[in-house]
Amino acid sequence: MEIKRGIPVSPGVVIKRAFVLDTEDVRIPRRHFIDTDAGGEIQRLRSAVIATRADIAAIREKILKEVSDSSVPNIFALHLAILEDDQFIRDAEKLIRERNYSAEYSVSRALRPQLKRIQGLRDEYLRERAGDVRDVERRLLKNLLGQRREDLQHLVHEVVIVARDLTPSQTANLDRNKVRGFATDAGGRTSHTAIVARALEIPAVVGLGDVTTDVSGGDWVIIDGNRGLVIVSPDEKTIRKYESLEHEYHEKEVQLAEIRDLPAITLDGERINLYGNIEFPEEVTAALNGGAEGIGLYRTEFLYLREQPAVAPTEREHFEAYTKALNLLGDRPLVIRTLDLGADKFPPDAGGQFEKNPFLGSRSLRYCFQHPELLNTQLRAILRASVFGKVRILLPMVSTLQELRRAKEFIANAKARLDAEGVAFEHKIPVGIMIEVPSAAVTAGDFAKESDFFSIGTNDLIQYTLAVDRGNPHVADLYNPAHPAILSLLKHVFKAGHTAGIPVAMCGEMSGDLDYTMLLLGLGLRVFSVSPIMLPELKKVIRSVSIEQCKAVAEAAMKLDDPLATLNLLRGETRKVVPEAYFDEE
Amino acid sequence: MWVEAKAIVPNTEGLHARPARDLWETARRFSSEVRIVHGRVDADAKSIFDIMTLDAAQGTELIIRTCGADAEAAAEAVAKLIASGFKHS
Repeated sequence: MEIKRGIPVSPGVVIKRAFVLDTEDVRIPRRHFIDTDAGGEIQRLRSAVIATRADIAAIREKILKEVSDSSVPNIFALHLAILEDDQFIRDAEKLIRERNYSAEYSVSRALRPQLKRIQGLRDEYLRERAGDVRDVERRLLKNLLGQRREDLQHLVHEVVIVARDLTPSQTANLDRNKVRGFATDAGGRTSHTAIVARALEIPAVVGLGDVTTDVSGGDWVIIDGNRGLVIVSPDEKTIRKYESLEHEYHEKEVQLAEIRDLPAITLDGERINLYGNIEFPEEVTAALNGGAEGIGLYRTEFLYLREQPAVAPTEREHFEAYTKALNLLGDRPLVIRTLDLGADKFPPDAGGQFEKNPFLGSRSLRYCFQHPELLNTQLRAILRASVFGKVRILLPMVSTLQELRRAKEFIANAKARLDAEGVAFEHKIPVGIMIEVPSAAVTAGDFAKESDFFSIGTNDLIQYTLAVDRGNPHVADLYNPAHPAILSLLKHVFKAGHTAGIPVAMCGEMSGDLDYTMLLLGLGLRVFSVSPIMLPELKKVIRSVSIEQCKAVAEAAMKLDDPLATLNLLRGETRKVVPEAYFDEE
Repeated sequence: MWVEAKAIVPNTEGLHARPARDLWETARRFSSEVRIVHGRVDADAKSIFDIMTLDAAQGTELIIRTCGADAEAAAEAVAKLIASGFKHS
């Protein structure tokens, strides 16, 4: 049994067998017991070793002819040594003979401890040889598995995914009915894996460092998304403990579900609007189950990332996704954000293009202006869908008024074309903007005159305002939503919206973080859009406080000049009101 | 009976890919058990993983211990290989 600590990014507890993915999508085989004789399985392993030796030797020959750098063929000589290592072969054969493991699983299991040893060495060069061990493993598995490789789209059993990091295309393709949790080496709270896990309402722990080294496919794994723990090959006692925790967690969920149908009203009678954030139309159900009054943010990027390489969806595909969501929503609103690709997610034709500073580059709306056909297709589909429910258009990454006006021109042109074609759509479809660039926040008063609503994207707003990439461990501690600059920007935006009489929503991660709920209510936020799983707890906090009280908290917070002191104050106040909201604490 | 020999790693890169592989290959030519000791690490010279785990940089003194029918020859060959800085003969 091994307990690993990471960052909890999606709550819940799950006990399942692991499905390990490496960076090249080769699945490390699941534990598999052979029913034939061990001798045959050992023979299979030996044949695979011979085939792999030939593969490596062939590559070495080829490289020797092409490259003059003598260190390159040396690496392949090392690969051959790893492949035929006495200890490794002996261990693998022993696992087959004594435990009836399959050759694939034995190879993976026998190499695990060796990998760990190498990664613990002092010499950096030698440590990096772990990559060579993985490479040999991969080649050997390819030969063993042949055509029998399973892929993520066609899982037979429920599993948890263990990977270095999940790419958008991997998560877009996975079988959502079979995947019950994620554990990854890399990533942070706003990483792609985290967002997807919360969307799918499955537990996830990221930033585990080297979990892929510790887990072989098929091992039992507990993912504790509440505490940020991953337990590999748990013992009986631990399994029992977690089974009861799993049960407790479900009970808690049941309790929270009870407040689902109660209105989101503060103690002093202020009505608050709660919406859900989604990535797939199917998640509307989860949002409604959580008590959402509609969808405040439908991220449409996944339509683009379903295939690898990414392919732009057709108008029909857009239209079908939107009407699917609208069907589930009835007359509740659906805020559709236009394509927000770029930076960490690759646009469809990014191949070849390289940006030195992608977060300040051609992303989102900027990218759309450079590829008008993408935006036109999406806008047409949104407009056509608008007769099937309450649709609103949300424009991301707006930094100047001219961009907003230009986007509105696109919308006007799409409308004119549909009119000419005699296609029905909602002529008065509301158009709002994301406030996520500091320039838009500072000039929110001007934007309010030309927008039907605002939605504050705190993840980007904080990153751009504080100049901090939260995914970068060297500076991540500087990322703090409680920074005075953020608080005063937020206050300013709420006020601008209020003066112009337009709704201001918040759909960033801060809106779902209970530590900030009282502060945000006090600063003037009345529309929250959060991941569906956060809805019941958020409502619980809202129903336990008064605006009066929140205003006092916000005032006290605004007076502090140390973000950490602010966060402590906010946590203390929240805990006073809803101590049970913190169920992460032991 | 164990036969013992000593050798200091003279080459700058220590036991990197090629030296490790040469050492492994040399040890495997003998039927004797071949062990290399560096501080508390006692490595099986017929395991490439064990050799890498020696973490032997330039200047490291290694103790070679062999046991078996060709123990003398094995100890001598391995010690010579290390002392030569893994020059190809």
